[in-house]
Amino acid sequence: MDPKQQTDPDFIDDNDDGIEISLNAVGKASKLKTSKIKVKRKHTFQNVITFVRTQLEKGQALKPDQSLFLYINSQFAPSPNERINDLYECFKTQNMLIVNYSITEAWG
Amino acid sequence: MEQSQLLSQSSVINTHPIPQAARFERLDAADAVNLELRRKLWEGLLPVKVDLALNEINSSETPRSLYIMAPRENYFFYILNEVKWLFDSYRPTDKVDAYDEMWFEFNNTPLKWNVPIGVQFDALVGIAMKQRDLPWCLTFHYRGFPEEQVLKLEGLNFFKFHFINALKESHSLRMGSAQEILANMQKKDETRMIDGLRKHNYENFWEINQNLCDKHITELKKYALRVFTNVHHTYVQPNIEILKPQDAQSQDSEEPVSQNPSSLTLGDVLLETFPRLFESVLNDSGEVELAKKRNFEVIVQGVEADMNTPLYWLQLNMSYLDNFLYVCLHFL
Repeated sequence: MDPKQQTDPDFIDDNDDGIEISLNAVGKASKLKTSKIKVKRKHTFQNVITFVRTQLEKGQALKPDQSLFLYINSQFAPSPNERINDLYECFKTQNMLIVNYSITEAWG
Repeated sequence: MEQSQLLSQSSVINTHPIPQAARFERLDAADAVNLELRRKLWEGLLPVKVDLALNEINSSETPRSLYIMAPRENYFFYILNEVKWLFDSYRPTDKVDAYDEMWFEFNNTPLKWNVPIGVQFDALVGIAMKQRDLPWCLTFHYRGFPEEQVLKLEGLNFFKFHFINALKESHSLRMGSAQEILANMQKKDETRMIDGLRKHNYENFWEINQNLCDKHITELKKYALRVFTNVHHTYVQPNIEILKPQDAQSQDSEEPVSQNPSSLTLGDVLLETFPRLFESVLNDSGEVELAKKRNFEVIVQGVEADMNTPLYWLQLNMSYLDNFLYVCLHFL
């Protein structure tokens, strides 16, 4: 089942709101045209990974077989299946979730 | 194999009594850590039976099943070599190392590489019906990876990447930042921890992790908790801030004692995080008690959790190896 279509069980009570994510290039990674995006709380971090990857590949800044690493607050790389709501509530700064992306392992 | 010896966790853990909230204030992190329990949890094993997926058998000969004891606190990566050792001969040689296509499955549910074995067992099987599902019968697939559901293994180094990052995430939550790991953990320490995981060696793992895990409550900013269930494809990670005593008092000066951060219980947190699953009721003795609104088990490390357990004690003693406390809700 596609997790984007799968609804959360009703005891996980996210509204349909989106939260703001700031996307920041690190090292040799190219800057994106849209550096601020809004993502629904009930979606997973995979959505953000896919978005950044698609944008970079479209702009020829990343090859399909090249690695891409995404970090929260320059501290750690979350698992793709973590919920946006949880990452936001746990790690937000000034009502935004800060995501840094890199083509090499930055804070390994 | 005798069933009675295979049970990984008895319902009674021979340990020090859970400290009462009132005594907590003067406890040092060292006092609140139960090393005997830590070792016992490390040694907890699940009897697992693995069969190769029927549609992947390349010959007329049916492979035999693999019977193996899997450490609850470790990951499926740990048993992968043994599984491949038995089943590789049934696959074409050029396909046996395509790690990113491999996956385990239980009753049509794909299992996860980055969630501990015990957490998935507790959520999917639960406690009451446990005997029926031991040994835990899994199917191993070399291909047909269910992309949307599960994180790919993507090679042996990715296991290390995901584990270290989970460790940094839990540290970031608990301490406010992962600086202690990023700045101070040396390459050789990291290598030793991963080696401890790969070989399930207690000393190699815990001599390094002890410094990360054993923190006094006054050093912690938040709790690192993940709730995993059998009705949701991923875990819920709630934001649980630890109030400093002065913050608590300023909120409600009439009740400073009940706001003591070390008296926060598992029940308190579950009630707040899942109001649709829990409620406060008055029991027959006129005391306030936590009640479940639906039919499910609350399981931590293979045992039904006592709602009155202080969350600080659980974080310190019942967390898994990435220093997250996993609470499993098994819906019946």
